[in-house]
Amino acid sequence: MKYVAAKATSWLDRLEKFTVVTFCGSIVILIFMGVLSRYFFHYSIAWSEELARFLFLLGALFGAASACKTGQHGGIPLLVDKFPPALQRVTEVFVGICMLVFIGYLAWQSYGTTMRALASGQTSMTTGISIWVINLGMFLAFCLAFVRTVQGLIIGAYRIDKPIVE
Amino acid sequence: DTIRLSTTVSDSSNWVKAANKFKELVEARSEGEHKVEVYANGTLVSGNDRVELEMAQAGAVDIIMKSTPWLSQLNPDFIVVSMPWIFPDTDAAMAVMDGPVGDKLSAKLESQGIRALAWGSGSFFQLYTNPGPIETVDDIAGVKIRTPGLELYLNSWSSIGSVPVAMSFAEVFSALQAGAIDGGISPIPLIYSSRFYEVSKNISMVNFSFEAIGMLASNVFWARLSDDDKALVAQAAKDAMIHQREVAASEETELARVMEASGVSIHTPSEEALAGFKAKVAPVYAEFKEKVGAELVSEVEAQVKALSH
Amino acid sequence: MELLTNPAVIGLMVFFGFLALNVPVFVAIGLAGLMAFVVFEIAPLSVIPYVFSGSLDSFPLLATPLFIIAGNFITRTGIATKLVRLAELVLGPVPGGLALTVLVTGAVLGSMSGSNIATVAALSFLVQPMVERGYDRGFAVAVVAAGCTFGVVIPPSIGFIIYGVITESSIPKLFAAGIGPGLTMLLILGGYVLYVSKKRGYKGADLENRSWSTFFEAFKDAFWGLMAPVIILGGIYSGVFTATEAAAVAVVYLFVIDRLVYKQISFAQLPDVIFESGRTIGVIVLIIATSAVYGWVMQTQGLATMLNSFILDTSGGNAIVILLFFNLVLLVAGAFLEPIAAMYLLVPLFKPTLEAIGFDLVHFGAVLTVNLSMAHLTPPVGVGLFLASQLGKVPFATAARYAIPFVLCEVVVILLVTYVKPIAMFLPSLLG
Ligand code: NA
Ligand code: NA
Repeated sequence: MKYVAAKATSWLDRLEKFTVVTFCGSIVILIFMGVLSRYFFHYSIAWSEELARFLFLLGALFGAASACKTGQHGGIPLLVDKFPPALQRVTEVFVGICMLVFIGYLAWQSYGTTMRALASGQTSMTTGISIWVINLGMFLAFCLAFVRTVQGLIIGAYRIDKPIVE
Repeated sequence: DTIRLSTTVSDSSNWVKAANKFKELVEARSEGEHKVEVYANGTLVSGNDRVELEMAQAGAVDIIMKSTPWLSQLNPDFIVVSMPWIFPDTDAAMAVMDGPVGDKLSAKLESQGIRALAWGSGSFFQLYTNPGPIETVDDIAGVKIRTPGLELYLNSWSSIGSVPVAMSFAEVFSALQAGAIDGGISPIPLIYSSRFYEVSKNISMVNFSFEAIGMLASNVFWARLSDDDKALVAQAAKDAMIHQREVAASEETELARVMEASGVSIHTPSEEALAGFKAKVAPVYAEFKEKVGAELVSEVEAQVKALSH
Repeated sequence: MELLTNPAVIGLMVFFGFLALNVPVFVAIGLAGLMAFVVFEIAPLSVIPYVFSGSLDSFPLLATPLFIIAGNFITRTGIATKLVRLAELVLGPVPGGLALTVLVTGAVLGSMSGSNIATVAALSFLVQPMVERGYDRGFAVAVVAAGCTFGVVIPPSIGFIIYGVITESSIPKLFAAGIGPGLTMLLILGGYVLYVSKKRGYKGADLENRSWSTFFEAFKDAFWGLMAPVIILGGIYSGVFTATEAAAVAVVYLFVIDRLVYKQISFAQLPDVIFESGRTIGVIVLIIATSAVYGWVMQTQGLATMLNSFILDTSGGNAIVILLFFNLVLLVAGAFLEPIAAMYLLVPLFKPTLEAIGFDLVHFGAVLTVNLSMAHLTPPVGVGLFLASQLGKVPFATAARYAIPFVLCEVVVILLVTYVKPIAMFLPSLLG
């Protein structure tokens, strides 16, 4: 069981890293190609701008999901620092619930936006990408963020007495 | 009931004047029972046109105002309105939108969660450039012009001989100023309100492509209304968009004068010169006539022809 | 009082409640917004993901992850060390030399980019060298965040373009009106840095003897690094590429230089660099998106309209008081909203009043831009400060504490720009 869990996690880690790197790396290449072709070849790649925006939207959200595991989305612990340890544990649970409620809500609603875009068949202006694909990407990123938050809570990334991430 | 109306154009636009007219009419005619809140500048939709369309379908906003190129994201048939030089003037374009073709297009939206209440005039696209004046089609050869990222526009302008650039609208002003692009295409009201005329000193009135503006209601909002209210809102939308057409027409000459006063030279190409543009764009026209559907395009062409007699 | 029952105001209190309990900033704003949707039923629940999607689907935002990658390259290639050595040779024993370098570089980078957070991303590689010279890490991060606030004040700037469109004012005049205030900011922040460095003993460099020969040697050493800003600025001003595109050019340039000259980054390390910056930008975008959600609540609940009429009622038409109030509202709105969102919310409301009291709209554009630019530095939703603290590896609360004096300095700048007209208006007046 433990082996399966560890295997699944490392598989998820790799998939997540692959997604973020591919999306963010492609932005560099797309925009740079856009400059090259416009300036040197007097030809403008029409779809690079729109595609880069979509890649950014999704790449950043997957990056945000990844940061949930390491507790990088920090709070401001000025007040809770002064709490006794027992009370600190309580606020940690509270923080965990808040995160899961909000991210869960985002995932749930993005499922709705995906279904609606699927039904209407809306496409993007230049690349003609189906909008449901973008919304599905958001849905998956929020689902991943939910899983990563649970993981983060388990490994103690949101511990108040733990000074700074990594 | 509170009705939220969204548009991504700026406060000074004639679209917003129509929206305010709509507000005035609905509030007066319903004797204050309905309130209309107008949100310009895209404040309700994060300034994003794609999202605005989605929010209207979802009922997250009640009424939006959208131009036909954007509506082609929902149904490709709307491209017919944008076909290069398909309309000789605004009156012909509005007559087509008010007629059977307009009804047919409107009907297509309903299965996608949106109802077209009325159509207005988004004016013709004109050419603004820094080199210039652009008198004949030869003058535009190799000139980098920004067009909205619609395939029809991009293909047309590369066929005409320029280098069409699909660039984010937010960067156009700076790009014009630094010379990363030499110009672009936009309706006169937008050239004015986006202040492109401060950094681009030639406008050529080529009347390239028309866009209509729809005042569109979300089906979710529509279902909330009683039959009487539906009639009231629909009529107010029609009256508001009639008002918009009048404002747009008078504004066009007025804004041209303002821009000329600030040093912009506005040039209207001769019929022969325009024929040169049209000849170059003919293959693209034929290609898109097939893509959009020859039947629909022919129907528009026939109606335009009938109108001019 | 009507103001206190406004869902946006209640949302604000909820936000502070969550914040006090150490809830991450984006969740605290997001839940405060969500509360308004659920409790006050202000709109369907589906609005929030759409606001997320719309506010992040934005071309100018793209520059930020690219500059984070570029900053990472600068550090890993060793270019950072070479640039720092050169700067120290130039400045010599001036106290706080590196901190001053950050500010000046911020102003130069700001002159090209219209984006504050992109400037933070590009500057943050200087945090580590500052720490190595004995600066407090929190102070170093605050300097970087403060250095970014020049970004939208010094032209060109998307902020001015948008303001020009909303108010129908001349954009070239607005650009000209940003230069004076930008230099004033540089002067006052520089003065503060100098003062603090003297007091805390942040020494200048006295590591090696300063002679022409060492300077030339250091210059030669740092040459390829120095070419990066030259290419970027040259490319933008000559129109080869736009400000956002410049970020991608910088990344490619640095990568190529490393392949040809320094050979420090292998292809295998590349994914880690990109992944790291993807995560950092992820943290930032959630704050941007949720603050847009809160902006949505403010917008629809008429909070700004209420404040505006409150100002008009209490000021009795006194121009000096009205301007003071306007600045206060901008400051408060800027503390929670992205500058552009705050601009769309407030400018249409302020415009009629400004015209009534005869205050020049170009002048107000400069005032507003300085004020909202500072919003990137002001806690709790200072996106620039947040990014700097992430990249500088300092808890946000620590960075916030060190940022407060910088905020106070900028408040002084705002007051100067507001009430001493020539600072902003001398240059535009030359444009006729
Ligand atoms: Na700038
Ligand atoms: Na802020």
